[in-house]
Amino acid sequence: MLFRFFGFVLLLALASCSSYAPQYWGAPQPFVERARATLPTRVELTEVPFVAQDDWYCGPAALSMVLQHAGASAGFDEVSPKLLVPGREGSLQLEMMAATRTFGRVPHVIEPTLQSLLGELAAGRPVIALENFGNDWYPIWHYSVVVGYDLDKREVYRRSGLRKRVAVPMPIFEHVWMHEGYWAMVLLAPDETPSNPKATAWREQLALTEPFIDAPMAQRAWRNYLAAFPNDTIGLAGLGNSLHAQGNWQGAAQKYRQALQQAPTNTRLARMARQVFTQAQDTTAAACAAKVEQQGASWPCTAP
Amino acid sequence: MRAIQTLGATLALTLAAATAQAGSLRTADLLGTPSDSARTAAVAQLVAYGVPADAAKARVASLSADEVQRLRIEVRSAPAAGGVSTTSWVILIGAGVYVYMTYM
Repeated sequence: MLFRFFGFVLLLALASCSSYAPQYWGAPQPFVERARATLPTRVELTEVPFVAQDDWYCGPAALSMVLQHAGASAGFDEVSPKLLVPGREGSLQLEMMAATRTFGRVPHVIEPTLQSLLGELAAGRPVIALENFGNDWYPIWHYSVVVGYDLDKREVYRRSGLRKRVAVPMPIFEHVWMHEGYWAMVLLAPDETPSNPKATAWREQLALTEPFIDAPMAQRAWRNYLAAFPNDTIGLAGLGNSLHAQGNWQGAAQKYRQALQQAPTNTRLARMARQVFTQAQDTTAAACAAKVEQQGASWPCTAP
Repeated sequence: MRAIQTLGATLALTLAAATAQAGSLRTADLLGTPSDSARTAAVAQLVAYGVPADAAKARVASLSADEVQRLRIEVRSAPAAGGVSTTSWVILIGAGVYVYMTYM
């Protein structure tokens, strides 16, 4: 009830000033008309489970809902100890991402636009959005799970707090969402491609998720990554490591050779490569990797 | 004979798996590993904000070097979303009433 009252107050503010929701009201035409060109009129992921929250616990509740939707066994009680910071009475964005990884799913921060948020929903992915119901001097941060939208009714549908389905007018949603820079994340399976793949962010999250998934899944994940960024050093090493973890020394060595071609003087890479080459019984390559690691040589070491 | 071969193959596989586990390579190490002192400081920071020590250690262990650095700062200042508590409403509505009484 109070949420609705607060929404009404916001609506009054909105009526007088379009800067409260710049993307929604922005030129050249209202957002919904632009969105119609590329998105279905309405989407609702009704199958996303609902987890109610107490004060402080919106982070664990939101993440638990989205993890369960992604097929992970992640009840509220398993998620909560990985997220709650009692002294701050809430959960941090950074740890929302870190906790996601420990359940073998890859967190992906979406582009900060209404369009991309609705796009994720259209692709079947519920979105965790960071909202601020207060203001700069008294922030009231909140995570909700956006599960649907309707361009005709100009609403988004959220799981939030104690309510399973809250319809919020789009400009009001944008207003509470824009406060923290339109931050929102979705969960991907390790072998799934993000909607706007950026090599640096994607490979970092994959590498950090790797310890929490099995080697065949890691292999699929790095292959999928390499399909988008074929010559990426980290990607090649990652695929090599997943083959190595399955006892495929030769396959791993081959990937490490490719990786070293991309980064001929990378000492961290050379240290791992030396181990792989040794296990593959390729003494020449191992000796060269050792030179790269310890003497600043460049791969491939040519005979003097 | 067949049985011995199978046994041998199983043994070899088990050994391979064991070796893989022992010497398993973490791709994340290529991105830089956090120093022990940075980890300790981040754990201490979480504990100072009420996180049990064991949980804090596990949480920090899953972070990248960059994240460990950021965590120390963000525990203090970044958005920590917990939802809308009763206290929040009392303060917000109180502030509203105050502004109304003062300026209207």
